Amino acid sequence: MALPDKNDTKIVAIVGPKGGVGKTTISANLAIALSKLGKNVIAVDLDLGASNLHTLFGIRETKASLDDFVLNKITNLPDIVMNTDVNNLRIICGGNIPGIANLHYNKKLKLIRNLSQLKSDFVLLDLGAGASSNVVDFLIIAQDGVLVTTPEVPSLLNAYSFIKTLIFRRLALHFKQIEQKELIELLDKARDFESYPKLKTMEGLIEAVRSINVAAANSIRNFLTNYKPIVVVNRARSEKDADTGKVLQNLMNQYLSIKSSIILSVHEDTAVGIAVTKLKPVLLAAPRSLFAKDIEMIAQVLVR
Amino acid sequence: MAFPVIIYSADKSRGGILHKILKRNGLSTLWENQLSQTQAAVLTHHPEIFIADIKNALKNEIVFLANICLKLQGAFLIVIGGSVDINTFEKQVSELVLENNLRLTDPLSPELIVSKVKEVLSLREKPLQAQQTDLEIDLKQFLKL
Repeated sequence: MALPDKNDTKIVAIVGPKGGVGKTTISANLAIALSKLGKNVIAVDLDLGASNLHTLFGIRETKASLDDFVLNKITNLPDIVMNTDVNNLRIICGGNIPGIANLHYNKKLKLIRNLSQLKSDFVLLDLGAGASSNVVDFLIIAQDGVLVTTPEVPSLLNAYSFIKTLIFRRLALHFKQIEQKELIELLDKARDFESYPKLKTMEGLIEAVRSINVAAANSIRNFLTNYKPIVVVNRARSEKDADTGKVLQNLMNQYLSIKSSIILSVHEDTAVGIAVTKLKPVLLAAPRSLFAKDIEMIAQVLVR
Repeated sequence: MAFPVIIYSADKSRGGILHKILKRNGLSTLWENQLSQTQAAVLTHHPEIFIADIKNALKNEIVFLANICLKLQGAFLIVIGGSVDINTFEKQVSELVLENNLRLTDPLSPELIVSKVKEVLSLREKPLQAQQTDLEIDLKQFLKL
């Protein structure tokens, strides 16, 4: 897959590999927090087939959405960007037509190209749950990825698996690009690490790659050194809950050689439920809540 | 007695509130409201966390605090104040200092500061390698690691 040219826009993908972890609530409020820092933001609802970002902003009628873009009713993505009531913040509403969740490769590529050409300080992609290529490929174009999890084991498991999937997808694209069949086969073996225990860790894989292609091994090392996933443990009710992010960080360090992940937590806060019921973002309904302060902190990390 | 948390706030009311709430949460905290005493305290106690309240601070005060921050030796820095104060502070300190800090704009939220202080202290008390918790064991089993 040929990736589009970059412009000055910073694309941030918000992912929640397990559904229901509060990803969209965080996306909507993070978009507001960034706009409050004076940044121009476009929030894009890419939870294809299950889009609802606009509802969190209280937008009841969407004049145009990704449906229109996918159905070729609108050619240019900027034409479906809508203003919101928040200064500096615009939104692209998601699509819900049948089949949109399994977007055809060419349409996905067209969408990715158009997303990369949006002009704004920040483009926030609110991605769907799961680790399908339709989710992971959108993450690959992002400069920053915010992975939302909750403190429970199933969600943490999905978060770890998601990051591993993302790394493997990156490597697969790179190996295809350099057209080295042996490396692609090696990657397949690493997927089945129970049969090939030496490939269980990224260090083991890098060493195996090095024996075939030194430049490719260095390129993986370079990617992992610069890869800084931001993990947000949402709905933390205690310090122990917030600490679960560190456990995930340990695993990423030990098995995936990711040395510089950023772990943040967001408090469980009743203000969230109240705001969602009112169809108002928390940062507007309860700007002094703990949730709002935590989100503002994530925004500061992204702005840095 | 070494204090892991040191607060500088020239504002008696804001500094007093922060000091009181941190102490109430069992966090051993020293509050200074004069710059020279703050510098001496930082050099003596080598705190884990330094909280600098720069609300309405004069430029000289911010420059002095920025110099103190350079002597923190890896301590986590929490800067609180208005957005203008924080912008002035950012211009005075190096990237190195900025990397290891948290900037919170007003209004003052003591609960958030307590929560972050606890988070940072707990992270520093338990080195990452030593955290072989039940959760980690569970995750490794499920992931077949």
